Amino acid sequence: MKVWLLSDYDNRKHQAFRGLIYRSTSGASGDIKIEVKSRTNLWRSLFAHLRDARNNPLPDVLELPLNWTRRFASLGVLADLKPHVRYLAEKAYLPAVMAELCRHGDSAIYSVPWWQKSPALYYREKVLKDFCSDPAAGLSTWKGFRRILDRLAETSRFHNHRLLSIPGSSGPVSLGEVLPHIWGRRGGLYSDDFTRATFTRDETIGGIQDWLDLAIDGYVRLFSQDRFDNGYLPDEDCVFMLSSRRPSYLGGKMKLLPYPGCAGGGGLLLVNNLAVSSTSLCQDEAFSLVSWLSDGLNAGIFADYFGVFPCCTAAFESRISRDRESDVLRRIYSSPEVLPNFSFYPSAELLLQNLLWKLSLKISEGKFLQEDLRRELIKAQGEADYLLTLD
Amino acid sequence: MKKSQGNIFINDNTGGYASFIRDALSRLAAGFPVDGASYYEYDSRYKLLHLRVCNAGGFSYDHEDHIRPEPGTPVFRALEKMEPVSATLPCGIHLYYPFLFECDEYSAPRFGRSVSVSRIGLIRLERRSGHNDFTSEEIENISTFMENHLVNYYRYEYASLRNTHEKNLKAVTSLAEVFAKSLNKQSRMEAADEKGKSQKSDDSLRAILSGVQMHFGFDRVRLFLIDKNEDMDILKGELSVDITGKVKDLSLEQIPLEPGFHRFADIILKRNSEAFLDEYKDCVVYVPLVVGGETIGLMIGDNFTSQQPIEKQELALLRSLGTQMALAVHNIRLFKKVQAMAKYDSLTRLPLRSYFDERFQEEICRSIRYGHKLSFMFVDIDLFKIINDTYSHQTGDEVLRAIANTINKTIRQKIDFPGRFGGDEMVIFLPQSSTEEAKGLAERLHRAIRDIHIDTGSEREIKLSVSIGISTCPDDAETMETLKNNADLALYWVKEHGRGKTMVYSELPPDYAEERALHEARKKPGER
Repeated sequence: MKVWLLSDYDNRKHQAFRGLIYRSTSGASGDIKIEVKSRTNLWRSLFAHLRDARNNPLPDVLELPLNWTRRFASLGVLADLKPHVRYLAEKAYLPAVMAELCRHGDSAIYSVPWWQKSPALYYREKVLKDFCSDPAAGLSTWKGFRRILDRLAETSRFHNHRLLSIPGSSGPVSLGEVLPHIWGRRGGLYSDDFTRATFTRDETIGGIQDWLDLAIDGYVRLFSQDRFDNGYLPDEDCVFMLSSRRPSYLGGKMKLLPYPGCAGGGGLLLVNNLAVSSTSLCQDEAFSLVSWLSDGLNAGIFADYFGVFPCCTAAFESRISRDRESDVLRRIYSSPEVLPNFSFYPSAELLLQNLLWKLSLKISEGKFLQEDLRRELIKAQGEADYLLTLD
Repeated sequence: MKKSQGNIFINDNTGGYASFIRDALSRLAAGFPVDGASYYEYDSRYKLLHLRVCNAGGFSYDHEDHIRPEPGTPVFRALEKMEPVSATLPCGIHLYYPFLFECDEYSAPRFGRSVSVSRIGLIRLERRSGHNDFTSEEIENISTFMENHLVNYYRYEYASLRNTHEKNLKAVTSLAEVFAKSLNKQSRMEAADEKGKSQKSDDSLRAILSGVQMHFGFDRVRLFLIDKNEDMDILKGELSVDITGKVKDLSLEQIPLEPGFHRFADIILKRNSEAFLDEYKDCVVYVPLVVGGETIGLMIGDNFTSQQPIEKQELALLRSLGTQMALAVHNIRLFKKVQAMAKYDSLTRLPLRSYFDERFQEEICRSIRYGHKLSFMFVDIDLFKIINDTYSHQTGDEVLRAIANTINKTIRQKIDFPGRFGGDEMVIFLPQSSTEEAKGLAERLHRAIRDIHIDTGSEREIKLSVSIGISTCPDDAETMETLKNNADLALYWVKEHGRGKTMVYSELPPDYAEERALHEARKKPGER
């Protein structure tokens, strides 16, 4: 059996998965070949299959972002899991997750929620105490966060820590970095009724601009060679960290707060699901494996290893309640919003990603002008509007 | 220290370029004492190193990172000199092995150009801090291994290019066959199946579009053709085929060919076929179809869903196929027009008798099978001969056109089917219509026709009216001829009783048919 797993910014995730598979006692493991694909490669591989199925076979099981489900189900790539995956109907997930997965009222379910994460802010209390007496209030908005960041930058009192860490940053400003921020500003790629693109809405522009400002002001170094030469520095070796992971190794070194702008909840929830390909020749085994992996216990073990949360509510609750900052976690995960599961949405995300790439190149070359962002967004919005007409 | 592994040629069907790299990294990491290995591609345009694959713990996996090497750094030096460079850094000891792959050997004379591939890659081998530096002997062994690997890499790339070339040749051949078949079918006007029905020209268009979609792998291919009208030329949608093979009718999409109205119109009006490459923009390509110097339409291939850029090599191939495609599409259209001429009356644009009868017979069978009513109507223009003789044949033609248009506007669109039986006689069949419903339509027709104004060029006004006879299947008959005869009989009754109204067969006086038959029998041969 072949499994495609989405890569993460370090190797903890796929090590955890391989460990889980090897420890499997369910009999579902069998002979499993794992291929770890980047998000870009996964997308390309799925379309390569559609173009030339014979030379680009699909795996039996694949991991994919929840909001890709509708797209690939409509292209006939995914199998209906509802009749086959054990306990799918009975499993409880966060209401926002199932609402998005079943948004279109289909009787079929083409992927199973597996693990989830939500961006949050970590800060080093010791360093911050001279700059902010009430971090929960002072860091509740992006403006407040930037104010404190700027004040810290003027001093050198970081106690040898980096000022800001963005684990997973991979060179350019990325979709993953910008989307939570757009959400924090109540912006989005489309209107609430999904009849028009809103790339040029003030909230969306503001969300992207805020993040670009981090790069322009030097808090984030684009295409930096640091990682290449020095390896990945410990995520937590910093004053501030913006991360969706909740790694256990932090101990009490850094404290947790909701993402700036989402102090009362309503932040972005990123969910990854498991699916079985419609062309799998061992679908029964594939369904068994998906059932086993998405089971609360196994998903919990897996998620814990690399600092995310299982989707099954029982396992999720258990994980949160064990955490010493469970009250903050509950705020972070209250009323979350999941990326929309429409067939056009992943294509729109790609439009935004390509735009961010272009702007990142300009910023890194010192050629970025303020009007560049609005101009690129206007062009992208036209294309995003057109995507609505395709299906 | 392990020696190089020797040839590691990977069959190019094992899963593509990425699988090949992953496997190579695994063997490299296993064959030499390193803690990790990574593969990067260098983009000399933006001076960026793109991380593609990592290997750690004997396992290769995709990873993405994008780095701009800084001048003076070891990796920068390695790329500048294209030589292995070793560096001791805080995180460990690295060996950078850059390589350049260039292949000009693949030439495609058929397309008038050669294709070259140039790629700069970088392998990074990593050892944790505290381990020994890479010695010169190790570097030499690694270089030997990499040279062997590159030989296989060249073979792989060459095989891949050869496959691409073969795929393109196959595309050219297969598509040329599709185009030729379309040409042959239209020129022979063959009746394809055992029921004697001719191959529909839409099937040929579908085959062309499906062929283009399949060979070029577009998310979607669309075809628009220019429809020349008296008022304005229109670019009309024909078909689209998507990546799943689904065909969609685009006939509702109509774009006036006016500058500035629509991107497609601008392309048709402002650009010629040689310039379609100028319209290339990432994930959409426009291919004007030109025959004998005249643009007849536009084919659009796009990857809007996958957002995958279209390769420049594909454009060259599309360009070379564009002429053949245009010719095939042009011939299909000509055939459609000829078919239409055989089926449709040129004056009124109503279906002619033979086509009407064909469709009517189908509908009778359908209605009997499913137990539906089917009504038939004879519509005769009152005193048409007098109009023709009094005014002119031109006025007579105008009357015929006006009444035909009125019929077309009044009937249920795409359900009721009109026809012209010659002279002043028009017919309509109405699927799933009872006698009462047919009478309702007849009434609406009478009202609409009474409102027609014909400009005779004089002060005299023509008051138009029609006489209508109706019969219904299965109530009045179950065969085409009998339905027609019965409706005709009803029409005769109207003509004898003042014209300008409707009569249904089932409401005729009981003896009328017999009286009519006797009357016909008594007529001298010339009077019938």
